[in-house]
Amino acid sequence: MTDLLKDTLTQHANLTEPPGLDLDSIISTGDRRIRRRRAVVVLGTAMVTLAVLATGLTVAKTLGPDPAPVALPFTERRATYAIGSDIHYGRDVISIAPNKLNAFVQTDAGFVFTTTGDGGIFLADGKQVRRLGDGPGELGELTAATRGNLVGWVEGFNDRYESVVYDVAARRELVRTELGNKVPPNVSLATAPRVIAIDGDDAYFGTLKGVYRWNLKTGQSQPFIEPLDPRAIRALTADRYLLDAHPENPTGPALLTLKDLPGNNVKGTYPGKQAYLSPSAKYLLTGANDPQRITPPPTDLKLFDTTAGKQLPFYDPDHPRLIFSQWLTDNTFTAAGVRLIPQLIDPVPGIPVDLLTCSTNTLTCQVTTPAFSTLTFTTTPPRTAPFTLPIGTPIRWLYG
Amino acid sequence: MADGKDSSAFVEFATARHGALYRYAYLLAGDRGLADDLVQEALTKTYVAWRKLRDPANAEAYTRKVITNVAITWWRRKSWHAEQPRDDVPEQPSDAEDSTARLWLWEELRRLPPRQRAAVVLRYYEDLTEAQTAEILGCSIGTVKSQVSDALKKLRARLGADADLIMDKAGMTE
Repeated sequence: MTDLLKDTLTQHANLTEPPGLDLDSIISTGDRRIRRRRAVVVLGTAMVTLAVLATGLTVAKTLGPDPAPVALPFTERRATYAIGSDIHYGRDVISIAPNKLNAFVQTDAGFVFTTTGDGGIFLADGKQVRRLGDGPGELGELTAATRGNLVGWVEGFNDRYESVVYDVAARRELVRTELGNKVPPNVSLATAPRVIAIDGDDAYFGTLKGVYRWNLKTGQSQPFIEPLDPRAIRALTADRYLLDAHPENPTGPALLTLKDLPGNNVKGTYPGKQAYLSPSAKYLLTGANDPQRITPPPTDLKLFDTTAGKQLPFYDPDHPRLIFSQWLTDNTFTAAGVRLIPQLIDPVPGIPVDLLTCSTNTLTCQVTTPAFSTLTFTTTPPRTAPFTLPIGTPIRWLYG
Repeated sequence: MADGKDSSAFVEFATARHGALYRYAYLLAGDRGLADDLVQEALTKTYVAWRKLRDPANAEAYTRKVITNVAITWWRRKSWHAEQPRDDVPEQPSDAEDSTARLWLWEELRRLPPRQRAAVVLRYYEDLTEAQTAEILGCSIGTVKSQVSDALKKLRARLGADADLIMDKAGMTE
């Protein structure tokens, strides 16, 4: 059969204009169906227990057996930054409008962020923005596990702080505890509590009374190996951590000690005040604090192989100062690179920053997004940069 | 569904192919509202199954198969002999060449049973081979041949006295 039949079909097809594509509806309906299927799979195996511990206000919910593996979006780490209401996740842009992003981290279920003006803590999963709770406030810090769906923060009250660990995929708090965080008179704000790290089955809470290790499966806690300033542990990943012996002095001796858990054995010492361990802890980046107190600091990052205990000749000739962002893999990390302007020593308003992807193999960086923002700061507190990275805090200039 | 990379790939696929899929669905359903529902449902099923598909070429074939099967299922539930939708008011004016033959043919195509109509659309609009048509309809090549043959016979019979003229214009000879 030929011409007229084909012409007739083609003509009628061409005369009808397709309506708008409702992708939101397709994806939300599809997600509901997927969740229903998973619910059938995991029904009968999921176990959630509530245990009210002797501390009274501490509530722990044990993780129970792991549910069947589920596929969540955002398991891939990409070169990412945020400006205003837009999170640039690789080539994708995720809008959180009308909110303005203050700080954010990535989980496998999406980006967890706080907003300017202490508006709460939220999840953006690419399809919707969902409020998770009150959050740590505009100046608080978000801490995400290297991989997975857990994020932690500290909420402040008049008489106490509460450390929180939240499972974004399960949409529930795993821990909320005031352990070590009853506020004594005349407490120093310099030692504000923080969730230091979430590593494996453990969360590490930096509190007013030192550091505690909290097992997320059993809900049991124990003081860390030694009483520590919440700022003393600069990084903790894959059962290794970096200790700053003088956290109270940001411009003091820049020496970090690498130790392992649980033996607390010294594995090496490295120069620097800032530390960023790769997911397996094979590689370590260290940097000095910024003399002008930009935090986290644009700094000359040094790369070390912790297995061999030696420095690698990492160097980016076009960007002498980098603000670390995140490890994409064990061999790749991203950073914001402050462009080299030879005649300038210190950053000046308007100096461009490039988003970089750097490799422990090639020992240098490639520009992923050129001049995506500038290293400038608002003139009134909290003096934030116009962009932020998935590091859990805004980039701020502490000097006015 | 899958991870962010897969989600982006699905969005890219759906955005790029929505128009073509909608036109295919419209030719099957003969009604714009039903066609929209068919595509929406088919893309939802494709989204759920996306991780198993990966290749966009597979995704398109899968989505067309779903459109066809869902259309046939809906028609069976609604009884094909019940009142059929009429949605043949074109959104653009037809040109002067839009002959009586085409209007007649379109009306008669709409009255074909769903599987026969699907076979005709796949063979003569989508230009698929008999084997490809059989794959989408989930039947043998022999069944495709018989479905198309039966469809042509019905068209010829229904067009009655004008059949010869129309068949000649259409080249509808076996």
